[in-house]
Amino acid sequence: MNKTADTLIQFSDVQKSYDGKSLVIKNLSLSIFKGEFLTLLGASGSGKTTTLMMLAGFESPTRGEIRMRGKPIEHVPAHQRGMGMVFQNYALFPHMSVAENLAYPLKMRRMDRTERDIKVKRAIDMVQLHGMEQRRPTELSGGQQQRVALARAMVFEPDVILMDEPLGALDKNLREHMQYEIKQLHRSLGVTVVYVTHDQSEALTMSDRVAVFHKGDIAQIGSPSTLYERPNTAYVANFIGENNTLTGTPALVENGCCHISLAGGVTVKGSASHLNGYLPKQVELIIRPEKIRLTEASETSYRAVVTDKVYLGEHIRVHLQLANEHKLVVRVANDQASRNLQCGHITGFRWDVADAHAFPLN
Amino acid sequence: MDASESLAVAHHRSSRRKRMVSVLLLLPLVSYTAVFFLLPIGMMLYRAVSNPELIDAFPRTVQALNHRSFDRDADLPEETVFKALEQDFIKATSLGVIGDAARRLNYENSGYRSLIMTTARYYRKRTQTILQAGSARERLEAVDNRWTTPVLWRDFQRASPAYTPYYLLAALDLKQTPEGIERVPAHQRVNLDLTLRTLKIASIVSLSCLILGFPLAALMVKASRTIQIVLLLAVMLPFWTSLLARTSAWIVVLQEKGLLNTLLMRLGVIDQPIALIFNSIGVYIVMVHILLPFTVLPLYNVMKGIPSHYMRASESMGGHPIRGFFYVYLPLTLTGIGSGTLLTFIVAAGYYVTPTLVGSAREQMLGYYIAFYTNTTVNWGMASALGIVLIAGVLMVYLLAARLVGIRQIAGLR
Ligand SMILES: Nc1ncnc2c1ncn2[C@@H]1O[C@H](COP(=O)(O)OP(=O)(O)OP(=O)(O)O)[C@@H](O)[C@H]1O
Ligand SMILES: [Mg+2]
Repeated sequence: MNKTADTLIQFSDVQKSYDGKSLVIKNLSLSIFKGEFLTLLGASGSGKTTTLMMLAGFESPTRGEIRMRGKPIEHVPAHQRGMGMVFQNYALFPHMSVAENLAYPLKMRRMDRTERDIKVKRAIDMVQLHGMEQRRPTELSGGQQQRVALARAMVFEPDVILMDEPLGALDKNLREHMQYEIKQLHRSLGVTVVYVTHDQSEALTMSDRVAVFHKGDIAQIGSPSTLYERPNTAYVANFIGENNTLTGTPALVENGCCHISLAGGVTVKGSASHLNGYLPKQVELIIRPEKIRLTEASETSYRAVVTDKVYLGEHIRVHLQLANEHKLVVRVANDQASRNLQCGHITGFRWDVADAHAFPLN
Repeated sequence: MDASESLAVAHHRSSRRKRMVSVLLLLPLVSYTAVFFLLPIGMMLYRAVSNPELIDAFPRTVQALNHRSFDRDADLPEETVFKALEQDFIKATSLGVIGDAARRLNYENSGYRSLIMTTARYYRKRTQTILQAGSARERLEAVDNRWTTPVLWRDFQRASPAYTPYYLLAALDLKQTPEGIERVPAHQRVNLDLTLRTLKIASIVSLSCLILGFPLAALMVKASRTIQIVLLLAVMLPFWTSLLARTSAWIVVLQEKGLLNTLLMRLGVIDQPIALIFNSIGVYIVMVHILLPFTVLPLYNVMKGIPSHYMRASESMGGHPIRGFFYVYLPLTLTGIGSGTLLTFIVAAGYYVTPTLVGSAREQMLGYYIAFYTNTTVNWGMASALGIVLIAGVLMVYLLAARLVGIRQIAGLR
């Protein structure tokens, strides 16, 4: 992806305040590339919807500007921005049939009837809702409504589609299925998608890039694997995926490896790349459950007591207690060795230094 | 087949207790409705067609006249009929019954009241004995020679059946003649105008309420919490003061030397007081004010239930807000428009106190005349017939609305 050439939308130093007192968006600079699937991920109240609304034209930035194809869009009203939008609760018009809902954006563009019918039919094909054209939205299941909403946002072939937690109301199976379908549609149409969710696994599976929002700022933006493997901050590391956190005092740093003494006299090692050369008073060491490997208890490994085992089918979650009060969760494959583990036994464990990230603790 | 039938039977049996409970819970309401709503309406329907006066006063005559017709000019009843009539006059238990019959006969042709009353007074002093000798017909002719005109007997005959379409026809400015149903003479045609006027006033009032109420309700939905409460209270205020007090307050404001005229003259906008009350303007102003809540509250209720993201969705699809309003918002408020306007219309059509107080004779509505026939002339038949016309008129508008908007929508069921 050639980044600079393909920038479609540019947020520059955007701030937003609803009440003139507090900033809901603090300082947002963000480029959205043509054809990418960008997800805004963040906790509730972190400003994702606000960002989307500013982009759609329903809210205006308090400071800063938004450009599309290099031109400011502040004075372009929502109905002229040409962005499709899927709302959290779909916002299908209850007094119109599925076909009428799909024809609505075309009618608003004063497209003639025959062309309209062709496009509606194509949209119905796309989301596989044959035979439901004449139904009212209330006569559809949640997943079907979702598909109509999707088709309606795409039927007028916008360059950008905005989706605000479109799958929030669906159950787990249906959600996974729809994630796949949305992704398929994105691939086949090549449209730019800005997707809002607070579900990190959804963000990871669907996106080209994810922007993690934290209290009105972007904590980190990057590809799912970047966010997962090389989180910038402890917040991002904790927000995305499951994590173990060990708090301790950094003893020394050598060759990018930080030695941390935990309360109770144990010393563990982790990557020092996020310490930026400083040696803070306290650090958090963050390591994912699946990056910890159980070994024979030996002199060279760390050691802990197995306190619990949770059977999860293909995986087993093992709860460990270190010599001190520190606890760890480990995810291991369901194999002979892990099945032989007994609660109360002592086991050894280890990790690669590059997989454990030390972050300064303030 | 068998299995499904037994399932139905089993289901029926298992839910019997539940049904019994619902019936019991409904019983008080059902009996209340039956006694205080259905029964009076039934009685009204009955009163509009029942015609007991002549049968009560002249039972023998009516029986003797049975099936006689007086089509030709020369036709007169036989002596037996005149004899029966004399019997009825002499044996009349009270003048009251005769008086009712006289009033009833008078509807057929004015002047019959005096005929009946004179005759009644004549026979009151007589006894059975005088009836033995001579011809009853000649005696009656001597009292009043109208007794021997066929037209009287034709009218008598028409007024005598136990049930009559007379009142219902009269309510529509129609009457029954030997030639069939005809319109009454032009100068007597008042009731149809009255009905149309009632429907017209009710329509103008409910449309005005809609025009004023729609933006108000929309504002109430959009406004901040405080403004919402203030507006809601302002709209509800008319509900909390007595109808009479409100109407009198308007008289104070609108009369010739009232607040409004004084203010306008002080400001130099006008130099002659304008007539704002005791005419149609007054009726419309006051009725719209009083009935506004009936339109606004259902509308507000429906609008509150329309999520704001519908309009946003419309905009995101390229719809200018004005087009979005007509394609999305307005259709979704149709339920509220339908039920609010209909409610206002129904209440307005039955209005009585307000037009009486602030209107002139030309603004009086059906309700006024129903009260007039009930209280002043004690003509229950006419009052009931006008009541039926009112109900039928409202029902027609209701059906029209149900046709246009849908009956579920009007009931607020979507
Ligand atoms: N219309 C509004 N008026 C005032 N404050 C608002 C408005 N909309 C949002 N906020 C505030 O702005 C902040 C960010 O809200 P926003 O809706 O953008 O969060 P979000 O990230 O979409 O959260 P969620 O995941 O819960 O949808 C919140 O604190 C919220 O209370
Ligand atoms: Mg949101």
